[in-house]
Amino acid sequence: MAWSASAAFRSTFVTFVSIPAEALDLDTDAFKVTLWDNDIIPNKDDTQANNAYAAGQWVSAGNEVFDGAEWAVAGVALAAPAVSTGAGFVMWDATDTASGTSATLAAVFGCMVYDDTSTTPADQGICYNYFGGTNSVTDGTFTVVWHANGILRITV
Amino acid sequence: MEVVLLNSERRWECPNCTFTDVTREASPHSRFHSCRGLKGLTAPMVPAGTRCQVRTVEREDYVGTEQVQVDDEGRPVMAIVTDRDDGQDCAVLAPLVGVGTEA
Repeated sequence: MAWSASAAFRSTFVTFVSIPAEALDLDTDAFKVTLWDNDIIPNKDDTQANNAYAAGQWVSAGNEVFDGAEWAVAGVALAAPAVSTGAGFVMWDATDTASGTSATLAAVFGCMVYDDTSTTPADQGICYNYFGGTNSVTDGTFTVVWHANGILRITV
Repeated sequence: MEVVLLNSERRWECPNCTFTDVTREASPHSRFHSCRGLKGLTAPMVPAGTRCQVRTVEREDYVGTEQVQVDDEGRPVMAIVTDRDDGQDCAVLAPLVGVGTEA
């Protein structure tokens, strides 16, 4: 029972390249960022149905970390998601994601980003980011600072 | 009719370097900067006059193949924590999710 690495969901990329009817748009869809404790075992190779919020490993009860309206259950909206590209890469980035100013959260080991617009399945997971240990905040602000190279980067 | 003008100016400082800033947003917000005192990391600023300590927390787990965020000395940093008299803030530095293709 534990996190071990960050990854993108394989089934999500199958959707990107081969199932136009279930198209996910990383620029215009609405996305949310959820926080998780260390009881889960993220699995990038799980089925598409299980790689979604409230399914598979990503069932909220006993696993998701949240605090009322400060960091709501089912996540905080990802602001300004955008795809950009350059020589040898395609990058997906967004504004850093922050809680309210009075959040109390404990044992946060990682986050999962999902598409709140998708319907088949609903709330399709895009990727999960392992923070590398336990993190907490007490009556303060919890911020996920995305990497300078984005949330997710495809090298080609 | 009397009109009340609210001054939304906020002054920010960093306990680890000399950088200061002023913002004029009405909504709640925070301010980050590239901190020389924390070896170039993107670190949160605090409202001027706040009694606090801002410190880095090194990654606890193996880095392995993770594309983590590092400081100027190459140390993997998991988070920047602000300890205040009345609470604690945390900015986690999320690793990049890499998707690669091989020729």
